[in-house]
Amino acid sequence: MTNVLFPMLQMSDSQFPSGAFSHSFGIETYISNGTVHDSSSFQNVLELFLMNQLVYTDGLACRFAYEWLESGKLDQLWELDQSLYALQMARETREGNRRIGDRLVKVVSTLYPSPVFEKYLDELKKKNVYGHGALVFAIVSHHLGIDVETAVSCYGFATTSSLVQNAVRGVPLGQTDGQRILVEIQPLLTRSVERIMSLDESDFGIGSPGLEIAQMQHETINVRLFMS
Amino acid sequence: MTYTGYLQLEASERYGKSVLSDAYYNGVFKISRPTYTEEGLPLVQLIHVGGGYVDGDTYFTQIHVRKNATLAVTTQASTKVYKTLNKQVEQKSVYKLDEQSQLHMKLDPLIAYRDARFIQKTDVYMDKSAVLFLTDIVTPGWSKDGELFPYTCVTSKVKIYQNEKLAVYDHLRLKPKDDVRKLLQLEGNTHIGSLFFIHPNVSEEWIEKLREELSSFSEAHYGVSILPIPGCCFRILAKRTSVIEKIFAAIETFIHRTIYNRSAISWRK
Repeated sequence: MTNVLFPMLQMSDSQFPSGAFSHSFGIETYISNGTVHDSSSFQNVLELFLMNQLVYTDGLACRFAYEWLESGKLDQLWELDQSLYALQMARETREGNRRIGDRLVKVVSTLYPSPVFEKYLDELKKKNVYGHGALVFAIVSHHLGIDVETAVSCYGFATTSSLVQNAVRGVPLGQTDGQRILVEIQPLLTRSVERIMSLDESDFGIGSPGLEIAQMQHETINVRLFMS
Repeated sequence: MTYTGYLQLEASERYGKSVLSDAYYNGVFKISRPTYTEEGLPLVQLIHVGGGYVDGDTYFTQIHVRKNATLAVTTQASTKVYKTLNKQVEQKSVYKLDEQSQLHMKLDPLIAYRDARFIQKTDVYMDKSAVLFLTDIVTPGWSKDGELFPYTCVTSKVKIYQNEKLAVYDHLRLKPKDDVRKLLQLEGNTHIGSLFFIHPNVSEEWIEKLREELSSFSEAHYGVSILPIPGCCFRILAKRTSVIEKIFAAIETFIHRTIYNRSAISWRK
């Protein structure tokens, strides 16, 4: 591999076939009840989503997964996958993440094969794990020799970009508004990555009760664009 | 290690009846003499004789419900956590539920006062056929300058293992300094309640019926969803404890009517 930027760009593309375009992870509830109704109200929710869900759970999982790959603690990786699944109280969000994770493991392991992916596929087949995007980003980055902060940053950007694309369709927002959010959010995304790098294991998985309720309530929304 | 309060309970089945087969306590923890509810189920009240939790306190509770036995546990009063400047209060609980056993835990609210720091870790190890009912409410205590959130930090970690596999991991941390009232967090509320009910008969259809049952509580902000194992998590945000307690009571009534075909446990409080 001559340029590690290319695979990272490929993985962070919102067109990457992960299935993330079908999931709002509770944000559609905020659209449905009017909390999110324009560009700035969406950006507010997105920022809170990143500062909580990404920082304490998904992004932190990506960092831990990378560090455990570095020290060869593969068993901890599979435990992390199970914890990520157990942390999700709302069915649709849990199943959404599992579906995306499972798909990502299968697609990315074909594109960038590695022994760790072989093992991940094996554990998936045995139903010991469920699949999670955070681990996939960590595995690819580690395999390609990309540093941990870049890995977490790319994962954070991919999450943000797919939520923005979904908001463009769901709120709806103009395409330019969506792209403007992706620019304006960058300092917060950088701070979130710094925060992720400073946390420890006792911080992992801190939930956001309001968001969880929104994710649960999504099951009963009458008209839905998204599966979660 | 010596704990500020230590408690160990065990329930077993004897000739088709559940009995409290072992009880040991030490420090500021005590229990009431077990009473038997109309259904013949042993009910134990936990008593804290010290009045409240203070700096550096450590608590440990172990409950083992053996095969086919049922146990109901509640607290005598709310748990009050006071100023904790040096070392946060730690409370650890381990519940073990054998085959076909049941544990019903209804805890009074945790009230966190000025500068309180509190962490509770609850680990449940249950068999696939066992039943767990567990509630938890966190509220801010009264403060003389009228501050809404006088406490420093309240953390709760609940891990539920079914047949040795982690099935549910609930991690909550309320840190008022970080503006807990904002969206995605408490969303303008001050109180939070969580209820877990793990039972082999919980299904999507059952949860749908529960939602219908609760539709009269339209003013409350809550959500309920099925867990990865047969069971549900119910979460509610409110400005008053009574709102949470009323809806928890309605859920209990629904559980006992639909699953046990009888009235809810009379907690005698």
